[in-house]
Amino acid sequence: MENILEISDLSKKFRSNYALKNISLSLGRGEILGLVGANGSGKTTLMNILAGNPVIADTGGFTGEIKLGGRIISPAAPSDSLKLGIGMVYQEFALIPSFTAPENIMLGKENLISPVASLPGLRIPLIDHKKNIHKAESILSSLGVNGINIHVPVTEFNVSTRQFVEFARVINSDTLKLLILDEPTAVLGRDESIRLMDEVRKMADKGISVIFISHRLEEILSLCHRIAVLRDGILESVFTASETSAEDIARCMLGSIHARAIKTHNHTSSGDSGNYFRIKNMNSGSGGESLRNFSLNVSKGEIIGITGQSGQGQMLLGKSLMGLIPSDGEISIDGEKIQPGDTASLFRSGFYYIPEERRRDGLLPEHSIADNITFTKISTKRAFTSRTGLLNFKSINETVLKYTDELDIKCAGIKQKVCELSGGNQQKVILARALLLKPEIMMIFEPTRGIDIGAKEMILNMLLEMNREMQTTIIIVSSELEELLRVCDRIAVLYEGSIFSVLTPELPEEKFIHAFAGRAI
Amino acid sequence: MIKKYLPPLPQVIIIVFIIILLGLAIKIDIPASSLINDLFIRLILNCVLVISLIPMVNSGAGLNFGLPIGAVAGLLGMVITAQFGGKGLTGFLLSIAVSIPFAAASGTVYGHMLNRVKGREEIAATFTGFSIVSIMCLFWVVAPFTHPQMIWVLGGSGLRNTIGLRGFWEKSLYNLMQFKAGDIIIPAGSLLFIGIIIISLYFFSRTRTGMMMNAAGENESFARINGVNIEKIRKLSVIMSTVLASAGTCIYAQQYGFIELYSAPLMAAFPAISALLLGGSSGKRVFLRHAILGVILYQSLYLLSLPVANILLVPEMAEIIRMIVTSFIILYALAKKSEERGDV
Repeated sequence: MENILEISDLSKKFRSNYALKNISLSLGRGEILGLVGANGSGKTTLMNILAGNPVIADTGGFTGEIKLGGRIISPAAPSDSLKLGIGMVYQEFALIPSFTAPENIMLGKENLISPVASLPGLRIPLIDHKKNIHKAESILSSLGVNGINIHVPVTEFNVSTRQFVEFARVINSDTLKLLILDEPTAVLGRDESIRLMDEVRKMADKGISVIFISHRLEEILSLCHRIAVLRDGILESVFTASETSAEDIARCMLGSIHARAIKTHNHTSSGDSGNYFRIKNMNSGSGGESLRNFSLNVSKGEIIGITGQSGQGQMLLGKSLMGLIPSDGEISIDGEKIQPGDTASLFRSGFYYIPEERRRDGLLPEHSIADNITFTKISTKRAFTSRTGLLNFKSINETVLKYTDELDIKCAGIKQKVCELSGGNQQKVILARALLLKPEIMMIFEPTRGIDIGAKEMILNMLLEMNREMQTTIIIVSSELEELLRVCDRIAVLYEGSIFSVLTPELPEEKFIHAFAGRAI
Repeated sequence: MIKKYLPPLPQVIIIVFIIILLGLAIKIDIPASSLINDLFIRLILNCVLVISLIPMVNSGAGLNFGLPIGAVAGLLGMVITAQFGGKGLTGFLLSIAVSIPFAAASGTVYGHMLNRVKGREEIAATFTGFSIVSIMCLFWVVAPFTHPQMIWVLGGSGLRNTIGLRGFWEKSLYNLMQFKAGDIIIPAGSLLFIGIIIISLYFFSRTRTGMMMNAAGENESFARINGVNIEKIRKLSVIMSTVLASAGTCIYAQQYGFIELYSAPLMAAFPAISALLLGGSSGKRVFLRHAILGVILYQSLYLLSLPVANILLVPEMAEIIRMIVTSFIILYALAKKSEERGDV
């Protein structure tokens, strides 16, 4: 089979961390390749490189070689990729909301009324709307989308129709060689998913190669010829669909989870059967992910892990609680009912949230280490504050010095700007803030992401120590199942926006694998 | 290590430009003492107006293009004080005291409005400022002031365009504790007064509220996650900026010797903002030193270029170069600001 796409030795670094390392992968004409991997495994980075997302060039580009149809390519902008024949269907739709479906589908490829309005040297052709609408309608109906009002903006459509409009927009191209679909079925129902997959097969039969990203392993298995598994930026394995099973793929995605023997921690839960912290029927959505009727019960003093494949809604949890994105649902802490987004009450009940995006949401980058460590204690508990409101910098400095010593935060001094520290030290600063605050319950996202191994262990130990010494209830949302198995009392696996099952670390591997794949046993 | 204490490149360029102008000025026999005296006067005129921008920038509410709102409150305070016969230093201090409630009240409404136009504060503020000035034009005409030195000579009602402060409190602060060192006039009272404002702002930045305000401006999502009520703190910063702007206007009028009503405050924000950006603020987080350096640089440029221009062969040249240099520095500051935000 002739290879359309050949990737060899592709690596991409963000600062000092590899997002992709030595990826070599090829794709034949008309082949459908499934791409799976947990959160942070490098799927998005790989797609961004192929789709020419400027974020790649802005962060220093990539190394290695990509050949499309035998030619070396290096797309620096989405328009480059389009010209080369790479079309991408984004998980968050790339549609212009106020345009109609035909306008979106034909954007940049409009039928024109030729030379009427063209002056020599000044081409301003008019758009032939009738022809455009006709063309768009024929594409849509070939996708089985009939009977929609094509004169209204696409925002009026439901998400599944919009997904088909997006799909129509991308396949409306004569030069399309490679089609990339990022979680196209996430917003679709069962029947619509089947319809979309039929269309993908048809495209492949026409000789277009497809990269299909999905967390639904069943779909991947039934649609794709081969399946590539990414883990921690490394191409772990490439399976042939007919010779593998969902379990094999899930096992490969999760990596070896035999490290559980190291579990150092014993249960300190008070056994209040999950009455301490409760979330009931939370719904929210953002960026193509959603939480659907999410409910969680946590006991006091427990460490609970929340995990799942990427995009199952786990990343929305903290933002929904803190009101950074709108949500509905009920929270209660120790019997007190709290509305999502009521940060004042959350703080009063001793709740603290450590976000995933350390640099963006977790730090004041231009402030000093001292400011970053003491901020929350000052803002929520009026610590170090005299009656006049002036801060007591002497006692602040003493406290901060104690923590930088204890946690071994490597810095030039406590007045150093926190943006100058390494990722691991920044995470330590955040944890020092939490230690100082002494929350009753803490929700921490991806505590070890982008941190070197030594610091990882230290951070996990700190979490265990906080739980042991201060009886802090800890919710860890992480894609590192191996780490969760070592520190958690229970692990909740999310699938499509709600908890699929809650497991304990002693359970056999198969249980986790099934839960990740969203399969009941 | 030395690099740390040097101002960044754009400021170095301006300083070099100023030194060249200064050399020219001395060469053409403009006495240094009169330049220094004028510089003091210009600093007193503008310093507090520039400083008044700081709270809003640091809380993330942007550069206060709505400075005319504070200015109008200051004007109101002054005409009311003058109407009731305020005189001398007491009159001046009273005028500030009277304008503060107006500034605080309008700042509350203005802050509430800015919270609703998040992300477009600066353009919204510009037009709010313009509208307030225009609305007040109506007020100045119909307001029931009766003091003969303030109302139109003909017609007998409505306030004048320009009200002379001679006989009220012209230069009362400037003359306070003023002494001479050789040919140089040191306006110690004014410097002390402005110094007190600067020091109080410095101490404010070391309070809990001040720290929360800076955090809100630097990283809003961080601040929200860590227990800062963004809307409240931003509103407070707008009130502070408006109150300071009204006080700045009173100081300006006192020094200048006239209360200028009607459309006079329309463009009040622009020189202040230029000075702040000139001082090296990226428009995201400002330190007092940015404001002070900025106002000194901006006013020195202003002060030196005019007399030098009059002597030089091409009288317009220095003025043109001054405009080019300051405008480019401001553009540079704004471009740098967008870069930091990640817009570019």
